[in-house]
Amino acid sequence: MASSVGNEEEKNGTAEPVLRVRGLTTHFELSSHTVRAVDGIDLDVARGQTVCLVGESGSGKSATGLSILRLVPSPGRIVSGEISLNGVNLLDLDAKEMERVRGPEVTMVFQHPRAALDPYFRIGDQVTETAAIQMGLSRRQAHETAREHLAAVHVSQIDRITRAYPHQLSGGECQRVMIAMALLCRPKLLIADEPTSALDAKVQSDLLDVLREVTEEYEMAVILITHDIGVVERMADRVAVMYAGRIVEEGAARDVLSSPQHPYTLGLMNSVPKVGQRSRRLQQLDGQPPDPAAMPPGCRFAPRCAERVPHCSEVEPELRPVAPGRFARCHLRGDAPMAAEERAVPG
Amino acid sequence: MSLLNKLGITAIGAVAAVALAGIAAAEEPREGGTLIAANEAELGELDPHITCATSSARWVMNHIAEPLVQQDMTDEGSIPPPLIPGLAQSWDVSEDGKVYTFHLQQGVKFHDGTDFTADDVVYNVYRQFDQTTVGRENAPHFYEAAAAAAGWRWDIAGLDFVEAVDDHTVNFHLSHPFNPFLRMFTQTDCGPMGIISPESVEKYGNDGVQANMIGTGPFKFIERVPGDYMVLERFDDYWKEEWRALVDRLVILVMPDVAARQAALRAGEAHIVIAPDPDSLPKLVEEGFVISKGTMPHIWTVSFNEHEAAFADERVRLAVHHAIDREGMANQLLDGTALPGESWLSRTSEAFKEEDRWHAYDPAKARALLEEAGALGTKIVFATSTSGSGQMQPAKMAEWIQRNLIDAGFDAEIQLMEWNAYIAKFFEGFDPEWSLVQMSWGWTAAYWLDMFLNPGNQPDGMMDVGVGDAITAAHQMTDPAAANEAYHAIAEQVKASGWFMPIVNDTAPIVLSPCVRDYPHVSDWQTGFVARTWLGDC
Amino acid sequence: MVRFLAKRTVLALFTLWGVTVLIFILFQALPGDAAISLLGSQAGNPEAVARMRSYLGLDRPAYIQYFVWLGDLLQGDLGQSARFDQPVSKLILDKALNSIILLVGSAVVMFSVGIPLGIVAALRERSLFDRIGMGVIIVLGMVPVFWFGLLLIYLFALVLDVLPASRMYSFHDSNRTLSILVHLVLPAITTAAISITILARVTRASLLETLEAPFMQALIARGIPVRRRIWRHAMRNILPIMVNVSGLQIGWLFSGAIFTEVIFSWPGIGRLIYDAVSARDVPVALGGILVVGALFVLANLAADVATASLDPRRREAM
Repeated sequence: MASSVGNEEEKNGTAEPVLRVRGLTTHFELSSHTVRAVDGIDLDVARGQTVCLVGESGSGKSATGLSILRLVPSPGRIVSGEISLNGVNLLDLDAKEMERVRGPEVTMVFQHPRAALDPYFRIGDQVTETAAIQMGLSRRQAHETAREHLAAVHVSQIDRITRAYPHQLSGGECQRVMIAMALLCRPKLLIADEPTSALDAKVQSDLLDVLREVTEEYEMAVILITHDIGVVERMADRVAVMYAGRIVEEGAARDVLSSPQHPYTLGLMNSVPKVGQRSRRLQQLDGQPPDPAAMPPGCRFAPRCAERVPHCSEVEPELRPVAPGRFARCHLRGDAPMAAEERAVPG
Repeated sequence: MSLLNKLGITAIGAVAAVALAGIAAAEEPREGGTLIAANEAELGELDPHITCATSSARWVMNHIAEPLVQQDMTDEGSIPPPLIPGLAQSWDVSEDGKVYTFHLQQGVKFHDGTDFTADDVVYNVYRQFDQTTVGRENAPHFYEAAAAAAGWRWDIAGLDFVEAVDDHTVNFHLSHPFNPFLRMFTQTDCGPMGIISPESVEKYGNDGVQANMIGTGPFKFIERVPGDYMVLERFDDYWKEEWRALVDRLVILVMPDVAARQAALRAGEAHIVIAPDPDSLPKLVEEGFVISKGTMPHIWTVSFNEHEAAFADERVRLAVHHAIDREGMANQLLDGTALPGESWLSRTSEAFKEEDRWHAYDPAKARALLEEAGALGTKIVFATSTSGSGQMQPAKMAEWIQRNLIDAGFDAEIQLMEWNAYIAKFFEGFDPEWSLVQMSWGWTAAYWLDMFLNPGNQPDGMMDVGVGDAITAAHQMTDPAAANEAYHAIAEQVKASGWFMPIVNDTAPIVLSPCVRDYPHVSDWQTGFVARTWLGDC
Repeated sequence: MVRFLAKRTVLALFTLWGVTVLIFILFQALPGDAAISLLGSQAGNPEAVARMRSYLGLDRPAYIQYFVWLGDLLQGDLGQSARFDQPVSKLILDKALNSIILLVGSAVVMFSVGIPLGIVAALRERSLFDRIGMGVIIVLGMVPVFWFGLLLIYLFALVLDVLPASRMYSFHDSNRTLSILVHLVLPAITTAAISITILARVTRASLLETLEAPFMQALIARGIPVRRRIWRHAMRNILPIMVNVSGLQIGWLFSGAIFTEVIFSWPGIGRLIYDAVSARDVPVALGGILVVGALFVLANLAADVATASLDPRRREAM
């Protein structure tokens, strides 16, 4: 967790956050029922801070990322909440204004880098186009800028890359290109959705280095969505664990990793293969996440929880402080529930 | 309006003007314009010595290439149209009926400007006639295809040779008298006898004739695009003032689809529609179009297959005759566009008598005959084509007959074949499965009788009713009246035999735009002679 | 690329040759021949038939007739039509040009209606326009060409009287080119009808699919404006499939044109072949089918090559 740049205060998010999410609720309205993919989430990310969103697939972490960019695909929609980016609520913006926010202010890197590139355009064209539009540059200037940024993400043979079509590049190269494009305008916030999970270990590691390097250099706020504990260990300043559309635990990365509080987080950690084993992905816990059409009345994790008491199945717990700067959504942890506002700026 | 001016009536009310203008007879023929006809079929081979298609010949014959003897193509009333001088101004027949001397018109020019002479007649005949007496070397332009199509005419007439006596006299020498000889020149079937310019044959070759047809007629050939159209233009140096063309151009459109033809008429794209859909005639009349009908040589016939076992019993054959409602078919099914068949002779034949009647429609009698023969439920297969030249509406008509036969106590079936396949099978010999075999045909000239009744021309399956010699004898009579009596007697004999049956005679309805004036629907196949037709107000 | 073309060309030639053999055999099996057809009512006269057959060369054994035809073909001679006393090549050229006019007209209609319809329907998915447009398309796809053509004639030529009902031009019109254009409207729409429905549906479906592709989301995330996403990226992505479908449709327009040519009396190659078959005019039928077949193969080949060269991934494979 060592960092050469920035100070501890910022790392721990004591300054005014770049992103401030309150009560974000995103529903997918299917014909038979409504899936509450994101169900009232609060999240802050400060300048230069990397927050990892972890959880099983279907827990709502990707939907959270897409919601922040207002990219939720139909039939999903953001039902309520507030997404403040540098004090501007993105949900108040119209489509045109939103278009101007995406890219220069906030952007996203996706899990499958090749699929995220247009297969019919050369890499150079795509990067140049993005540069020209985001930065209002002429074609020539945009072209130069594109090359500079490609250099910044350490791609080898820039000429070859710019002339190539996406299918002619490796997955790692594609992701570097995506990162280069994401960084063109030095956005305040970068959302990276499983940026390395489709790549092999060596490439993954190199890419994380690149990501770390550039985000630190530009002091960007980063939301890193992953289910790889190794990535969390390497990248995260803070961790938010999601389960069934809700954050069930949040805290500084080293604390959460070393002493998980919520039984679900605990389960996740225990299912991680021990050091020395190749894969360090989160394993499936026993049992299934709840059916979105029929959420359990009490704690959503209760049906799978080894520690559950009768109360757990009746009343849903609030996200409460369990230690300084740490929160868990469990009846069995901490002393008393706490108002959301009180823990908004964890200290 | 010209009439009004002549009468000096200028201040007449509009209503009266319209009423007067409506009197067609009061209109003066007007020159100019383009007359457009929508033809029902591809024009096919246009060389007059080869074409076998009536739908082509009607535009080529008389309009472009004229014969020595013509029918009066403007005489709508006479049946058949009277014979009048064509390229021959008069003719003599020798006492023995074997030498025909034609005195040719003088001062006639072909469309290419060359003069028409007696040598040209000889040249034309020897193009088609595989002569033995003069030797092939005298006719290097002899054309195998023309001989195949037109040679039969000279064979049936017994032609020996043709000679030019002088520039304007030609003798045809026959090996025997041939009574229908003069009428033969006017008939359109296979190889109509229009005269074409020998110079053009020499210039373009035998197979270049149809693209460069040079005749003497009131119209000259301009252009023909296969599958599309043919354009004719008035020939200003035409020799016969009374038949000088009135319109500038005559365009014949090839439109095999009946709906398209009628749409073209309604849209003003065509003035004349050949072969309209009989069902749509009342509607067309309502819309102001004019229907022109005529008496035709056409007979929609049925031949009884001689190999059909059931037909060996005369009563079964007679039952068929009584079973079929010809009148109903003509008036109801075909909306009056046909007349019931009453004789094996064409209605336009001089031998045909107005009072001729076929076996009456009498289903009860038919059933009684069948019962008497113990043949109730006999299976009859009626064979016809799906469409084709002169076939009218074969499928619909076959169904009518099928119903008639079933009503009378037969068990009847229909077999339909594509036209070309059907005529091939028809002439190769009837399919053993066929009981009643349909074909449509007929000529004004009495040699029509040879086609089905002369054993030499009969395909296998067609019954020889023993009239071959009688037909030949009648052909060779030199007295026309006696010959006509003989032909009539033969037709009566055919009726009595019960092996052939005329079902209906087509009246060949033609629809005209109200602009068309003086369209003569003459009583022969060559309906559509339009030299004196003109375009008035409409 | 050269290898690919060579392989396809050889295959196409082989196919076309097979087609000629097949058609020749079919003609042999059909009752009746050109002599019977030319002679009509004189077909009952054996001497006349024998003479006409010998004149037409039909008295030789069938395989000899075929090889004579094939030999002439290899020397670039398609033979002679006895019915018209014209070289088959001239007949076909005239008619093929007319058909190509119809084809171009239909293609213009197909593109200018099918593609915009599909695009607008996709961009306004589930809107009233989309629902009505696609409903009309489905109905149109089920209506036989024949009926559709007659309906157009009835409506525009007879009731409204704004467009001509048939033929390629009118003898009343002084300006031939203008006349052809006016006459082209209804036949072109009729011919294109089915292809419009296919093109509109393919456009709509592939555009919808492309709009949901991950890279479109990535473009949004990078702030690329909507116009540019659709008109530059999405369109470029559906271009290969549009070209491919269009190429196949142009092939199908040929077959649709045969009906149209009959309904509208359009003097094209479809009617020429149809007439030739009924008149047993074998050289014309064979030549016509050969030319149409070659055009069909060519259209498909061109579509394949164009599609492949538009797709950087397939471009390398070729």
